[in-house]
Amino acid sequence: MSGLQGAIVHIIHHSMMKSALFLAAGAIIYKTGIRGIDKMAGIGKKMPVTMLVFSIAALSMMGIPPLAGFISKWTLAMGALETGEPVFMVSILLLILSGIMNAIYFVPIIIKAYFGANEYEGGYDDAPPSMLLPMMILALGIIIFGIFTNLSFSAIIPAARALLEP
Amino acid sequence: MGAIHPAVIFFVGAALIPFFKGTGQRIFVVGVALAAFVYMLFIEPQIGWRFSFLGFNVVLLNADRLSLFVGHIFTLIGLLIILYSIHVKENEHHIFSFLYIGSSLGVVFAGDFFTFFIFWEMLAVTAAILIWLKKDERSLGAGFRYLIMHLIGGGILLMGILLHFLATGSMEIGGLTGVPFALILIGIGFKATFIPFHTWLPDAYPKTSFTVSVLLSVFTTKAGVYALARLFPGIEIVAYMGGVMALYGVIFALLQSNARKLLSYHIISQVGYMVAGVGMGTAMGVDGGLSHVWNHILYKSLLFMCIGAVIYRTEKNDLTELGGLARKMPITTIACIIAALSIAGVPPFNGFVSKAMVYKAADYHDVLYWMLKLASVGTFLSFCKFTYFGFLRKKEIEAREAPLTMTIPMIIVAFLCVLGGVYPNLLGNILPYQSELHVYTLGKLTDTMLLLGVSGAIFLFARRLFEPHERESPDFDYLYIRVAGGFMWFCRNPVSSFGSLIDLAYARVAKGFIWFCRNPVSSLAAGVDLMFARVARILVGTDRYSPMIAAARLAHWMDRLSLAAEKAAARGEERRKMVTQGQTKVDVRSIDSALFLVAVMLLIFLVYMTLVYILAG
Repeated sequence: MSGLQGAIVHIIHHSMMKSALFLAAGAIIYKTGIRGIDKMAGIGKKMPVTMLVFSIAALSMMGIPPLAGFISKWTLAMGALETGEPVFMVSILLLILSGIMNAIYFVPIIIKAYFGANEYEGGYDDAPPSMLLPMMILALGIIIFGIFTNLSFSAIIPAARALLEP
Repeated sequence: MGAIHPAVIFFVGAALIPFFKGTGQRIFVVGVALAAFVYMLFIEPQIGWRFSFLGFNVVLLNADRLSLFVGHIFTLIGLLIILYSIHVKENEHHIFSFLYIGSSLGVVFAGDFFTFFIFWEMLAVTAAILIWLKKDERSLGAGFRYLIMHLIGGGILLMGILLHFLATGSMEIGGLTGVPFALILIGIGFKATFIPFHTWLPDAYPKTSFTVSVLLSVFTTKAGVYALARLFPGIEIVAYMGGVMALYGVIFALLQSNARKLLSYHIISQVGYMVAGVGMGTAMGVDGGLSHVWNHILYKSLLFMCIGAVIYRTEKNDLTELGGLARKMPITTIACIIAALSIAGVPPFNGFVSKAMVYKAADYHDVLYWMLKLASVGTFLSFCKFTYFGFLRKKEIEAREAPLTMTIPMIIVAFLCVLGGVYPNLLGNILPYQSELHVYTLGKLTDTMLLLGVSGAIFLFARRLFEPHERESPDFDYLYIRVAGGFMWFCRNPVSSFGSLIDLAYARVAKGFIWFCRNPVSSLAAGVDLMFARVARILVGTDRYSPMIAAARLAHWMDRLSLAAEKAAARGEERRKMVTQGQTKVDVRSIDSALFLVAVMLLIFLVYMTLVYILAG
């Protein structure tokens, strides 16, 4: 039951996190044409909103509470525990490991963007509002769905039940 | 709902900071911290902020004597440190300080493992961001290592919590047994600087800006000690780990010449006293450990404030370069001497009182008692070194007294250090077990003075021995980095060699193809070409549109293909040469990642052990 709930909630949360990440990456490419991480030093000054969205989504991917990604991780781990089968312990390990792996990918980007030497001329120059708005909504969603879990679970628990009872 | 959660004050404050500028922001920041401190005084022991979450109860506010005690000192020192760092102009610094302090209060008041874990992780992330705010290469690397270490610790803790939930079906804090017990102990040990999980502390704290190192020196490790006091009181192995930490930290502190690194190792050593007290688990032990938490927070943050003021005025950090500050910065020097006497356990300063309580509790543990006594000798020696070479010795140096916003908190903390020593029973009322100890007995005083007199004499006559030298004393991080280096070598050689082997194989195939094209096919094609041309000329009399032309084209393209293959073969050859000369560059991000990967492997092993345990049981 928890496993199924975790899968469903992860569909929702993952779609928010990944699309926020892609939208942020897209906004960076649109604005600067950069694709390489090594060229992103100091971009947090230039595009603060975009990078904030990126950081929130990345932290969520790492499974840092209290963001949505952590709730998915937690529920999936609970599902694995509920089975009581030792085989599924491996999946818990993988969940935790993947969180740490994500940290290896994402943390250097965040460090570079905010704390790296500034390589850009000029100050604030973020993407147009039409791009920022959806990203901000997604980032807000990541935070809200991480804290107020009843929002999603009130819909998910009946869905999981319906799937289990033919 | 009851009382407001004190962490909420800091979180809301952090959210509002960007709306204030300049002086208004300063007043606001100090006001919020003051409000939190005053509010804390009025919180009654209670359980509040209960929520139902994913099928279990989440308790955010679990205020009992233990958590209130730690909460009081956290908000008190938070206020003073925020006052101390008020000169920092960046919004980010204040926002993340608030989030950091708020998370630590969240850990302290957590009433269930879920809440505990959430704030535990937030504490690590906000601390890492604070470290990165220095924005230079060294602090970025140190922050990365800090975060990875803490995420690994958090992962181990999370596994322990999940296994505990599986075993008992409850998220309530306490009642640990078996594997979850070990995992949660190790996970908390990452924050309570158990040897060998301590490397993040002397690695990161000297590399941040000085205001951040004052802040960090208080909360992270003490949150760890609090968790130990809550979960593992009276576990013998914890007590002995405390003894090991006390000795280990002090030995490494004696070897340092970087002032903040010396102080960082002393955090490990002093946390060792607290862990020892908590681990003994008697009323006197827990109270001694906790009052040592209180006193240590005061004098250690005072020491970091003093060295911060020195860095602020001189931009020097190393004992080899410092000295001669007694004239130039008298208030800082006096505050530093008070803090040094406190940490060394000299009566009548506060360190003496809480150390006496821990010794009293250790009466029945001979080995531990002597470990702690030995550590106190080292502490006294290293603080002779710290104050003498850092402040008192004669040396020309350019400096002037720190600004009032720095000296006022320093004076307040120094006053509290003396107050705690002169009236030792002030703390007794709010300690969890309310133990009272008459520390000022003749026996204890002569005992202490004898010990300190001997070590003072050693320092006096053998001062040259302690002269600071610029050197790196290898700690466990040396080992970790060596292991990581080995891992890197493993990545570089087999992986890269494998890559070039594939290249070589392709080159072989290409060569064979070239040979085939050149010899039989080309000559055949040419021969056939010629033959057809002749026949065509005889038959048609023109070259145009004949099938022979197509054949000739084909041969031409075959030739070009063979040329390309030849080039590829040459490239493969070159790469093979580079591998044999060891010039390959493999794109692996840095040693940090490798370090991290090693840790991941260790984690895998840990889980494997868990699995074995579960399968067997």
